[in-house]
Amino acid sequence: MSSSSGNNKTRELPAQAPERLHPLSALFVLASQLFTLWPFLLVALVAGLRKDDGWEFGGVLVGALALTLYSIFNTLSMRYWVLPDEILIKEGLFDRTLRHIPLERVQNVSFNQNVLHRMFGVVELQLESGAGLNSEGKFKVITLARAKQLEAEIRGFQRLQPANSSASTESPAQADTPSSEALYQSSTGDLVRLGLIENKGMVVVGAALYFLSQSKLLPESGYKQFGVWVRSQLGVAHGPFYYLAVALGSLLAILIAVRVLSVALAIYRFHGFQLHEHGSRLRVEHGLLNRTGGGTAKDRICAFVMHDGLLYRWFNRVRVEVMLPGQAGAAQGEQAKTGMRFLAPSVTPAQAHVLLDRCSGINLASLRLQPLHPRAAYRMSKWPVMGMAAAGVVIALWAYKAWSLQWAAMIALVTASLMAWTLYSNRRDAKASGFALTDRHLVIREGWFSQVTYIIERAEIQELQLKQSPFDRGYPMASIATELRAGSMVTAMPTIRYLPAGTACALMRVLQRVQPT
Amino acid sequence: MNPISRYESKLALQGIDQRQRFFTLLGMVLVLWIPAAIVIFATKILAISIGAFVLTFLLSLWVWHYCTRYYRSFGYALLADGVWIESGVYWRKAVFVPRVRVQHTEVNHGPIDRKMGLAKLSIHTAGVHSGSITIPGLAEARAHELRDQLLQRKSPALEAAADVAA
Repeated sequence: MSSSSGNNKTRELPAQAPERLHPLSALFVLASQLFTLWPFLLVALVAGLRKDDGWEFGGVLVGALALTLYSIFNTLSMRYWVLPDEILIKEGLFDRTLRHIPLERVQNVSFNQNVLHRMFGVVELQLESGAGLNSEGKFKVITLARAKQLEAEIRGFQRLQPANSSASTESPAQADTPSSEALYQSSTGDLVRLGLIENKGMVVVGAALYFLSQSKLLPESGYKQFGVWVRSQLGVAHGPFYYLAVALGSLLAILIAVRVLSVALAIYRFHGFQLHEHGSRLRVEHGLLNRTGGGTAKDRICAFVMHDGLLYRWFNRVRVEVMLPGQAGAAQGEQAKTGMRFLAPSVTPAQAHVLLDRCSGINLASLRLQPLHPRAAYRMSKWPVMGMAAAGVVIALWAYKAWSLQWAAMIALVTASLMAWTLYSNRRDAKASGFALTDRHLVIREGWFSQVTYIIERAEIQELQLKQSPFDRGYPMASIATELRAGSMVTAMPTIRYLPAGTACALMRVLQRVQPT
Repeated sequence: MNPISRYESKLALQGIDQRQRFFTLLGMVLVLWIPAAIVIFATKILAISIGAFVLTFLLSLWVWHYCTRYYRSFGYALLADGVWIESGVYWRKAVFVPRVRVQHTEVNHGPIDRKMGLAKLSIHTAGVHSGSITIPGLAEARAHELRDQLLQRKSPALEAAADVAA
C-alpha cells in the first residue's frame, strides 16, 4: 500500500518550507553531552592531575569541546517536512542524510520529557519504524504542542489505511473513535506496594557497592578497619549460632533500609502512571520528574506478561507488562526509554483481569489451567535436593574435623532447611503452574514464590520448540517453548516445562494450526 | 533414533544424508589429532606421548559415536502448516516453523558439500532467540524442492486471509 510512488521519492526536496527543531535543542544536546561525555573527562582530569601531563589533557579537553560544538550544530542543522504520506528528514553537517519515513510504517511514537524539558514545554520525540534498535526519526527537541499534533497526524493517516501490513485488524468502528479513555491510573498506594514488592533498591545498592569496591574512593585499609571493628564488637568467644543471629539481624536491618529506597525508586519511576486507550491504540505515560511514555497498536502486542508471586499476593497486586516487537534493544537497556513496556505496573488481580480482557479479549479469571505431569514436583526436586544433601554432608564433615561439632550442626541445619524449602516450593510450583489454550491465546503460568503468567497471542508465535532432556525421558516429560518477535536474547522464551510427553505432543499438534494474523 | 513425536502420533520423519559424518572426521582431525600430534611428538617423556595418544583415541571414538548418533537423530517432515525439524542425542529438540512465519530461506553449500552433491537449507523466522534453523545434509535437488514446497504457501489459513484481502 505504498502510495508514495517513485516520483515522490526523488532527491529533490519538497517545495514547502521545512520545519526546524526548537532552538533550545542546543541546550539539550549540551545537557546530554554533559551527562554522557563529561563525567569521563572529569575522571580523566582527576586521574591526569596526579601525573604531570597537563598538555595531553588539554588536548582531550579541546577535542571534547569540539565534539560538543559539532553535535550541537549537527542537531540544529536538522530540517524536516511533514508531507501527506511521509516525513522527510534532512540532517547532518558533513555527513548529509535525507531520510524518508513513510507514515504507515511508523510503529512507535515515543516521547521523553525530563525536568528541563518540562520547564520549557518541549519534548524529545522519537519515531520508530524498523526493528527498533535505533529510532529512525529523532526530534530533539520540539514543542509539546507540535509533538502531539505530529502524532495525531501520523495516527490519522494510519487510520485511513485499512490494509496496513502490520496493523490490519483495526475494525472501522474502533477506528472512527479517536477519543481517548483512561483505562488505569496509578495511586501512590499502588506504587508504595510496588516498591515493597519489587525491591529494586537492592539492585541499586548492589551496583553502588560494586562501584565503590572497584573505584579507589575508599582506601583499602577502610575495609580492614571495618572488619576489625566488627570483630571487636562481636568478640571471639561466641558460638556459631550467635554469629547466625547477628548475621540475620543485620540482614534484616539492611533489608528494611533497602525497601525504603525501593519505594522511593518506584514512586520516582511510576508516579502518575496512566494507561489510555485511543481507539485501537494504547498509550502510557509515567514518571515523577522524568515523564516518559509510549504507545502501541493493540494488535502489535505479541504477549502480555503478568508478574505475580508470594509478595505480590500479600499486597494483593500484580504487574502487567507487554511484549512488543522491535524492542530487541532491551538488552542494551533501551526498552525503558522508548516505546511502551508496562500495561500497569501495580494493579489488583481483578483490575488486571479487566484490563487484559479489554486489551486482548481474554478472560483470565474463568480460565482453568491444565496441570503439569503428576510427578513434576518430584522431577524438579530430585537432583537439586540430592546435590544439596551431598554437599551438606561433605561440608559438615569437613567443618567437624576443622572446627567443632557445633559448626557441623549449624551447617547441617542450614542445609536441611534449604532442602525442605526446595521440596516445599517445588511442590507449590508444580501445583501453581500449568497452561491453557483458547482460540486466540496460549496462557502459560509458571512458579509459585515468584510467578509469571504469559498470555501469548497464538498468531504471533514464530516457532514452536518441543524439548526433552535426558532427565525428562524416564517419566516421560517434555517442554514446549514459544519463540516470539518480542523479547530479547537475554530473556527466556515463554516455556511450558514438565508436561507429560503425550500432552506436549498433542499440544504441538493443536498449536500447529496457525491462524491468520 | 527416538523422535519426540513418538509419544503421541508418529510423524514420518525423513533423515539426512549420513555422509555428513565426513565433517565429523574433518573436525576431529583438525581439532583433536593435530594438537594431539604436536604434543605426542614434541614431548620427550614417553609416558606423556602414550597418554596423549590413548586419551585422544578414546575421545575420538566417543566423538565418532556421538556424531553418528547425532546425524541419525536428524529428521524433518513437511506438514500441512509448516515444517518440523528434529534433532539431538541426549537433549532432543523438535522445532516447528509455521509456513506463514517463514521470513526467508537460504540454500547453502560449501566446497565439500558440493563435492558430495549436498546442501543445507536454512529457514529464517522473525524470532528473537534463534531466528533460524538449518537442515544439513540434503541432496541438492531435495533442498531446492523442500524450499519450494515450504514457500508454496498453500496453508488454508493464508488462503482465507487472501480471500479477505481480495
